[in-house]
Amino acid sequence: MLQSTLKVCCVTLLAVAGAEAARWEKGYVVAFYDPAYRFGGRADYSRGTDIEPGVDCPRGSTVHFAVPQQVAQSLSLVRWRSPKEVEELANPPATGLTRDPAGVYFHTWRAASAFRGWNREIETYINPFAAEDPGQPQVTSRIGEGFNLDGKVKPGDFVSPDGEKGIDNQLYRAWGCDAPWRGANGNGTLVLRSNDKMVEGLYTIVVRISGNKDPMNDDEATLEIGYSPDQIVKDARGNVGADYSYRLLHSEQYTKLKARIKDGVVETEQADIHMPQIAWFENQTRDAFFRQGKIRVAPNADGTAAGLVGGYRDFRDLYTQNAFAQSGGVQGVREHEDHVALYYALRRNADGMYNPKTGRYDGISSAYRLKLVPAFVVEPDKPMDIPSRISEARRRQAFDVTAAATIKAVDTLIPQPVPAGSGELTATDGIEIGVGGVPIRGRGGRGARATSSTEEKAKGPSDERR
Amino acid sequence: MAVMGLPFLDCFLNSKGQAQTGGRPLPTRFGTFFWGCGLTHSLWIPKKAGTDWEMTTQLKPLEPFRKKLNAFSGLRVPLDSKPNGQHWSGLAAASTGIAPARSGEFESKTIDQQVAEVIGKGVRFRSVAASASGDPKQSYSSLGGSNALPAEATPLSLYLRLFGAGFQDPTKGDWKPDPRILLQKSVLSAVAEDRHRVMQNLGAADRARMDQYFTSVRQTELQMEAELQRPTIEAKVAIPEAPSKDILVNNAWPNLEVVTPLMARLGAIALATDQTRVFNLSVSSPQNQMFKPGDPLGFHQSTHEEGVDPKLGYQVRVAQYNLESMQLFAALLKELDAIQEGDGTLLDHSVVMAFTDQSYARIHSVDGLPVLTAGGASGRLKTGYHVAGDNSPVSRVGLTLQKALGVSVDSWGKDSLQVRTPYTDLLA
Amino acid sequence: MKLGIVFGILGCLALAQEHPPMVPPAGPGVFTAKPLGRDTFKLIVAGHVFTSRPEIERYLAYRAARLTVDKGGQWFTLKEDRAAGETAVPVPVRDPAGARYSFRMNYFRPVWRYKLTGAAEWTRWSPFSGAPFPAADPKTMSDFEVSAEIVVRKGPMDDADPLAFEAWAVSDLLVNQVSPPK
Repeated sequence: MLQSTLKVCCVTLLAVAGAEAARWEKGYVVAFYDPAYRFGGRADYSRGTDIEPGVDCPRGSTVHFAVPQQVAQSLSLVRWRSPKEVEELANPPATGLTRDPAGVYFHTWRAASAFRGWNREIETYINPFAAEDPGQPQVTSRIGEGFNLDGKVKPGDFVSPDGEKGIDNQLYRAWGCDAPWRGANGNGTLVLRSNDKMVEGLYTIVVRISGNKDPMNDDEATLEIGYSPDQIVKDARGNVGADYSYRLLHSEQYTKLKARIKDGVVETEQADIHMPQIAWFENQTRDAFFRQGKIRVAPNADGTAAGLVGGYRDFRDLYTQNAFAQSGGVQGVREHEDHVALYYALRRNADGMYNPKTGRYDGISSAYRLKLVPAFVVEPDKPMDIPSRISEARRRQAFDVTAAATIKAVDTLIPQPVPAGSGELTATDGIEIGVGGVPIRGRGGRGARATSSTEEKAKGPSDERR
Repeated sequence: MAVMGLPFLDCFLNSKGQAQTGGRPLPTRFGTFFWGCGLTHSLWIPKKAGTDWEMTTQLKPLEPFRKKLNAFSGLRVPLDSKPNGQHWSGLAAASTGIAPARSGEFESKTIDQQVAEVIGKGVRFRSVAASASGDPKQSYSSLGGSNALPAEATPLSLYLRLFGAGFQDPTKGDWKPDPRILLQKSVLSAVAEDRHRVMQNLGAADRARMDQYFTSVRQTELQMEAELQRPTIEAKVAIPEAPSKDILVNNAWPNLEVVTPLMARLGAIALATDQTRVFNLSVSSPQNQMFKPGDPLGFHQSTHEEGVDPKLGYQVRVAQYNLESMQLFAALLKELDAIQEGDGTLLDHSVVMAFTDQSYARIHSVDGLPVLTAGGASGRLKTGYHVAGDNSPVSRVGLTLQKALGVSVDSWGKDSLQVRTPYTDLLA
Repeated sequence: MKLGIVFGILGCLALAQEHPPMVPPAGPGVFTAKPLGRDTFKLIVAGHVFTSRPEIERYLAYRAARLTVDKGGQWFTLKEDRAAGETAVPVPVRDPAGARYSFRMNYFRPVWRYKLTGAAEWTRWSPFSGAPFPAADPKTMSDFEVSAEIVVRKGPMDDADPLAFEAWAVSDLLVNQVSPPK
């Protein structure tokens, strides 16, 4: 009896040991993170320095604030501006050796762009609905990456590159032609910039996949994704290094999902996902909240993997994230995008998070690509939260108050004033913006504009750098 | 009222302990050259390393000085937990060896001030800064924090600072100490003599404050001492006429083309006549506002707005501004190299560090920050090298230059930018 | 910047007082929407106290947008009411100012009729006639009607059609600017 009991125990132990041995785990660090916008042009084709329009955007990328003619068209929608005024703003005097044309154009246009509401006092980027829509070219192609989030095949849905119908990625439809995000092989300015900053240490995302069966086929696997406090380690060539260790924090930017693995491809259940959002400034680093989200990870032969995360994101988060890292005008003029047009495009294409109070959708389907490099993903020694940089507190505050004012404005449709501390209207290169979109000489700073007088420059540091 | 002689300072010795010219050493000088928005990788980095590197498009303006030049590519700017302050972190890291926590602030003295502490004593000006685009705040020479030492913003103001009131032309036979300096010195000496009595009656904090005060008194004394002694110079230079006050100084390329060589010449003469041993010249702010008349964007804005030519693989207009920035650097080197002194030129007895803020301005990237140096530090620094892509922190250049200049420093920089090993192959 | 913020705050406070955030209800007979077909409606805004042409036309546009939303549409098109000979202002072509990807409020051009004080007859004014608005002093109007025929539409807007208007966007843009005439 004792013997048979021992045998049973041994078998049980062996079974347990066998189960233990089958437990497996894979880790990755995100080495590239960009919106899943599918470029429809050829990578090696150009018209001058313009990339090919392509089947995604037959009229090319956005050209907001690119040339005087376009600026004139945009400002002519502002009914309190006279045609003469519009013409002067679009063509600021900037010739000869005594004037700095870059500064004149940049500051004139960003200032004018910040006041396009139906009233001269309304700041536009905080109250985009109060300005007439300058128009955002939208993606026209039928092929797009993402997930079928609602399980339906609808007229506006995309077909995935491998033929799956019903792909919900209306963010691509709305913003896929936006100049700083469009380009071959992740070559859009803000795609490059945000990834450069991520790899430089602005934030780190890690993925851990684990299970108890075969890593290639496991219907009870788990996928975790979230913020890591450890900065990405580069190899000697400057690429993201493989097989370094990263801690995975169970923070507000962490999600654990059930997953199924078939032939190596991991696909999670559909649930809310929290993970870091794309950022290129510290004040943008925060949770990307995907409703009804889903993640897919497909391994590559070299040990890396291609990830895709999708879900419905709040249009207010997307708008504020893109607009207020610096200010709407600074980024708009520099990147040839118009946040008013982007706002209208988001609302027009919103397709999730139905709000019964307003009868409108507050969310838009979206998808983001992740390039994953193998890593050891480990638990922190002790629980810890996402660290904050005290030195960036002022900029974070600026972002937060501006975003809050915008959300209040779009929720109530009551124009909100520029809150104290906001980055909107803050001096850039010593140039502030007065009511009505007038550039005014503010406090100068080191390296401030050479066109200002010495006395004006000696007043103090500038608030913002471009 | 006794006139005190200067102590015999280390910086009076040359590196090899060789005989000093005229009983006093020919000093080694240090300079910085700052330009904003970097260069274009594919156009400036030579493919070959060592001394056999091929001349590249964007280094071409420096061809005449190739043997006196060192080019450093592939330098890293690890930021650790610091933010990437666009247009700031790179320049601060290169000039202090510390990634700054805040944009617009330096976390230590900049390298020119660290060097000036050693080589800048005993002359009228510890250091001099000039801004070729007309902005007195366009200075990257700092004692730390958010304040920079103001730059002379016009050729005339630079001239007046260097050769105006208080200047005694050491090339002339009638040199004599300025009586006003003698008078000021007597007042200071009287204060300094009371030091012991005053300090006895103070608490620790006040003693510290007074200590700082007396240190600054002592520094002033030393400067006055210097001004009471005739500088020993080897160079055959003549002090030029004052530049016109009507010269237009701003970011326009045609104006920069005129003003930069003019300021460079004044700085070179000041170095040659031992008015200062540290000269800093900037031709732009980090957000380089250089522009060509008719170009609606200018340099900085072009870095963000101009598309990358898919065939060429770079931004064409930006590349031209890069090239012109190097032309301005060449203008400085030309003036330094034109002055003969001792067994070489002023450039041979100097080191100039040319640095910038971004490696790829289009996206505000800092890794791969270009740094160039020129001059052999009186034979202490080997030149003619392309130090290629060794992935060193950018601070390694600063450490190497300080070693070459005789600064007693074992390591330089902080956190991941802290380096202990200079480029020993470059040190003679 | 502080000055800017102060002006901004004062401005918005003033705005809030001048234009209540939500549109007050219209008095009897001020707004009518007459179905002309399944998705076609004739909208009329009528009043006795003339304020300004843009103000009254914007109220009509707002009501057109709201009607579209209420009917489950996403956008509407305006059918221009051009009488014979009203050709001084050309019919807009598709994408008249290049690619727009949006609507343009300046193409919302309704037709007016009005009575001057003491007059028994209505006078028509068309924005396409080339005649200035109106021929007589508008302050002497005792009655006016502004009308537009719209077609409510669903699905993605034809953004190359200059006479297409996006309902929610028009509604959001105008909600703080309009109030019904008296």
